[in-house]
Amino acid sequence: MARHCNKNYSYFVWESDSLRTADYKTNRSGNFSKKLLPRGRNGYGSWNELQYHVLIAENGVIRTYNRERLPEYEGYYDEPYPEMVWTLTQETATVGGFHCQKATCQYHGRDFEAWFTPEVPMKFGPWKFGGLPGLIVKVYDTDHYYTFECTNVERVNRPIVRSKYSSRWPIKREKVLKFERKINECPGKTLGWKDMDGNIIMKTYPYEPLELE
Amino acid sequence: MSRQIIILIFALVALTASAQKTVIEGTVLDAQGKKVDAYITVAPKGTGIILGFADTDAKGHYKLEFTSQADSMTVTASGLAIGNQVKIVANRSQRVDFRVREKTVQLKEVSVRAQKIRQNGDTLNYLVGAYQQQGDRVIGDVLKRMPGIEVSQSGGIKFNGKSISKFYVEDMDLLQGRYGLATNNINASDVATVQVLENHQPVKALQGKTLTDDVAINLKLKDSAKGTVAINTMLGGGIQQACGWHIGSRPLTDDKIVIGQNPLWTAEVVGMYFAKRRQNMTLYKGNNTGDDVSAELTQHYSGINSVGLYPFCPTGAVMPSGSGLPQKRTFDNHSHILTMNHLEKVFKDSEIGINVAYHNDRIRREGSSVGDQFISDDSRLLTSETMTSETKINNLNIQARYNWNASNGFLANVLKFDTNWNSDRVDGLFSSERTGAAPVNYGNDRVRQHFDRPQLSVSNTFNTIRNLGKNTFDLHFSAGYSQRPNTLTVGIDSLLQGTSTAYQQDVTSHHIVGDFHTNYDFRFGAFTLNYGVVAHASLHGIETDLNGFDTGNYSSRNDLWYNTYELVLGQHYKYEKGRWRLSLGCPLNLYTQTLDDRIRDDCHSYVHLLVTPTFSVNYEWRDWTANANANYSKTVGDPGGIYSGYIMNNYRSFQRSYVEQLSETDRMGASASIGYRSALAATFFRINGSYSHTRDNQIYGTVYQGATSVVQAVDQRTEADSYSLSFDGSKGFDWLQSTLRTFGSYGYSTSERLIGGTVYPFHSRSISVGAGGTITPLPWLNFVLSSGYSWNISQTNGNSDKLAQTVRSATQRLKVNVYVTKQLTLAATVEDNYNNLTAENRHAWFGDATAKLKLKHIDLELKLNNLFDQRQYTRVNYSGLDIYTQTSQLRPRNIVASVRFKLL
Repeated sequence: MARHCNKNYSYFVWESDSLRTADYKTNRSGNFSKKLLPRGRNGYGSWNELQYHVLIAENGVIRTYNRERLPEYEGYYDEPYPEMVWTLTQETATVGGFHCQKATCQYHGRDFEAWFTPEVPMKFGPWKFGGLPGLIVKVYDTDHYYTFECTNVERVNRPIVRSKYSSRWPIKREKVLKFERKINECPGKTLGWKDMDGNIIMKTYPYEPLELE
Repeated sequence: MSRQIIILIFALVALTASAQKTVIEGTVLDAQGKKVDAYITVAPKGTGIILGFADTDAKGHYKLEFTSQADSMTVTASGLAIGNQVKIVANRSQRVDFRVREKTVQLKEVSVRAQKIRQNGDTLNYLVGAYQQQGDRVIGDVLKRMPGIEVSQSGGIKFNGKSISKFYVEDMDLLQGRYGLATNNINASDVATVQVLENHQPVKALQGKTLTDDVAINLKLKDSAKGTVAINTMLGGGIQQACGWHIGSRPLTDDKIVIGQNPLWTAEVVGMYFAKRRQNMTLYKGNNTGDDVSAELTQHYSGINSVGLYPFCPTGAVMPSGSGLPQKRTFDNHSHILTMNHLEKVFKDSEIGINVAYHNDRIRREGSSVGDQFISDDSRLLTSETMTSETKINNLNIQARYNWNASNGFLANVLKFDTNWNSDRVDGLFSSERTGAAPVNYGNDRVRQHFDRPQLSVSNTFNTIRNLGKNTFDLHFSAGYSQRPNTLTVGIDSLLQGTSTAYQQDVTSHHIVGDFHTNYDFRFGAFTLNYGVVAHASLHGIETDLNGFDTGNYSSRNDLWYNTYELVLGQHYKYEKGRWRLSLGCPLNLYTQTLDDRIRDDCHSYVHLLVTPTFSVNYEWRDWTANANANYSKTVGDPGGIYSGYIMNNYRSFQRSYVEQLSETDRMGASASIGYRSALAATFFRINGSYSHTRDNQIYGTVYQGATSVVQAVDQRTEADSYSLSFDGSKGFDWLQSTLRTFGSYGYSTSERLIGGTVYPFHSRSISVGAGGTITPLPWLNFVLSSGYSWNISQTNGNSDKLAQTVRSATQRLKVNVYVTKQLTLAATVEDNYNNLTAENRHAWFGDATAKLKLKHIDLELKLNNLFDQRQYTRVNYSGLDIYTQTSQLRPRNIVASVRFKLL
């Protein structure tokens, strides 16, 4: 559904079947480009992995190919899609140029609020969100650490590319989260950066992961 | 009656209280009756607020349950292929079926304003305003905060661990690698965006053709900063303990042994101008505090490879050494540096650049050197020199550049001009004696040396890259000329005998170099083949003349041309697949050397085919990496062995090193290492081992005449071996943010020395171990500790060397950092250096403290140096079979305060 053209930084969710057939029949792909806005607290953060993960959703399963600073922690893991249970609220607003309705859920340890628009009949959203009767135009956690916002909607006529991930092996999601926490809180210690005296640089950064559990 | 009312009320209540759950179900099918991918939503009519939704199952069937007060509801079937199809129904449980037809969904095209980090293909844009914090004055301060960007202590910038290959301001590379000047001086408020360009290929002709993972940074300035001049200034002053107040240079022999003089001053002015087609950065830096003025001018990457020009000069003055300490402690200097960098864009794809630098310095140093030199198993030569030196530096360096960078070709030409008028003047006392079996005292001498060493170099380098069909062609040509007319004058007054001797050595040396090379790359699957052709010519012309030394039957003059011509076919093969990386290189060198000696009136020429294979293999598996490599090389001809007439190396060492036979050196080496890295456990270690074997068909022999040594090259085979093993490990802990590090190494080598006609095989052993760590007990307090010990010994084989001593040294260091507030940081360092062989200064304690305060418009810095007022520092080290104890005089306790602010 959403996509970037560059192989490294693409982030997209793709559903096969209906979209593919629709493409084939109508000779157009209704694609949106969505920009992520991962925002650490105080605008102070390290390299944020969310910009570089590639997520592919097919047949009720979403597979995350994670991109990390160290290749030994890269792999893929699967989760059911869509997994979250939404509660619809009565609030509406215009968000991102669309008429939207608000829904809330609890997912992986955080509370989220999402604005979805029935004007666009797609049950998808950014990252792992989905399952609402309309495109999710804006979703954020109640602490406002992370905000996903749709900034661009374009009609394009390009195929969605799935890269060859033959070197990837399955990795547990918990291991990935543990590594991401360590490398974001103290990258010097995790990567072995040394200063001029040969000592490891122990500078820490505040880090609020998107998935708490 | 009341019962009826009650029943009625009950009925009414029941009716309203039940607020019926409505169930609507049905199917969504297409015209052919087949299931369609869709979902159903229901909303009260008129509001559009969805109350519930459901998916259709495999048969196209759905079921909706909701509760609402409204009379009618809109039920919508939605899907990408069908759009939204609406039915309005009454609010009661019923069946609603949809028969849908395909419909193109018209999407509103929407665009929202730019955000804090924007991604555009391979370019990341960071908005400076979003990352800037109070206390950030220059762009370097803000760069440190941007995610992924690291700025090291030396000013080098890395993105995601990779050093940047180019630094642009407004898409132009003004500073050609000296980007420290930009990060430390461009104001943060003048920069709008920092762009990180990944997979950057600066040569337009190669874009899209070759894969590169280079990273570049480009600063985009705000419109208000373009076309205006900005000037930043730093001023500072201070005083030091001891030494009177004196402006101007001190004479060499003023008997006051104090390094540095009052008042201390430091100043810097940087002017910048950035416009659309023109850029300029001009700066002046000066100080007499011992700081290195050229540190900010470090080139982190170099634009183009020019030929190396190094005219031979085997003569030099003996100077007091720095004993390995940073120059800040030992230099008594008056340094000034002025540089101007200008870039102009002409036409569409061309630019002209010019970089000019002028360095003027007067450096005074004091120190002494005690040598314990091996003469034979039972006697040694002890020498002691106490010196005061003054070095004058006057250096002008100009580079002019022309670049043409278009999509169909690339062309670059760099013209370099470098000239300096440098000289050394040394005044000292020298005493020597022979100890051991037959002791002799050679007395005391007063020695005055003057080494006048001007040099001039000119070179031009040309590089072009063109695309021919699908392949690229890279051509590189460089030529240069350099000359050194130098003179060393020495006057020795023997205090014991009351006699005077004077030597003078004139050296006029020319070097002409021409270099041409071209390269071609092929790729087949996992293999990469690289072929290159290099043609290289290097012509050295040397004339020397020695006066005052008795050379016996040999000449005191040299007049020769030593030329080498090389034609190299380079081949390099790389294989990368899975976890393996192998590489093999085997260049073939057709090496021709001619020696035309005009004094002896003969001319020799040699032609050799040299093969230099190297092989390396690298394997990675999960957290482990292993690599091994082996190499072999053969070098022919030794520029040290061409002088048939005597040359004075320095006032104590004379050389005559002409050998009939051409020298040949074979060297083979191998090394292996294993590394482990676990990011989750924050554990890293690496073990290295290496071995090398060298074979030479000539050996340099030393003969001692009194305290003077005469060096000659002798036709004799000699071999040397060396082994080494080293270890380095570190681990980070979560407890108090601490880290621990240990390291150690062991080295053993064997070699031979020819002294006084006898060959002495000897071996050297060195062991070093150390540990260190950091700990942060409080968020604002940080400690760094380190401790190291080493043992060294060199002795002749067998146990006949009774006079060999072990040199033991140790260093302990403690550093404390206090981050009082975001604006104020304090730091202090204490260090002890220990040596076991010195008579005085066995322990040398150093202490320094700094305080930095960042305010809105100015940066303040206060430095206290050498808190323990350590006036001397001694270092002991082995060189072959000789031990040297070097002592330097140091700058005394001093304090310097400086202010940085924006002038314009």
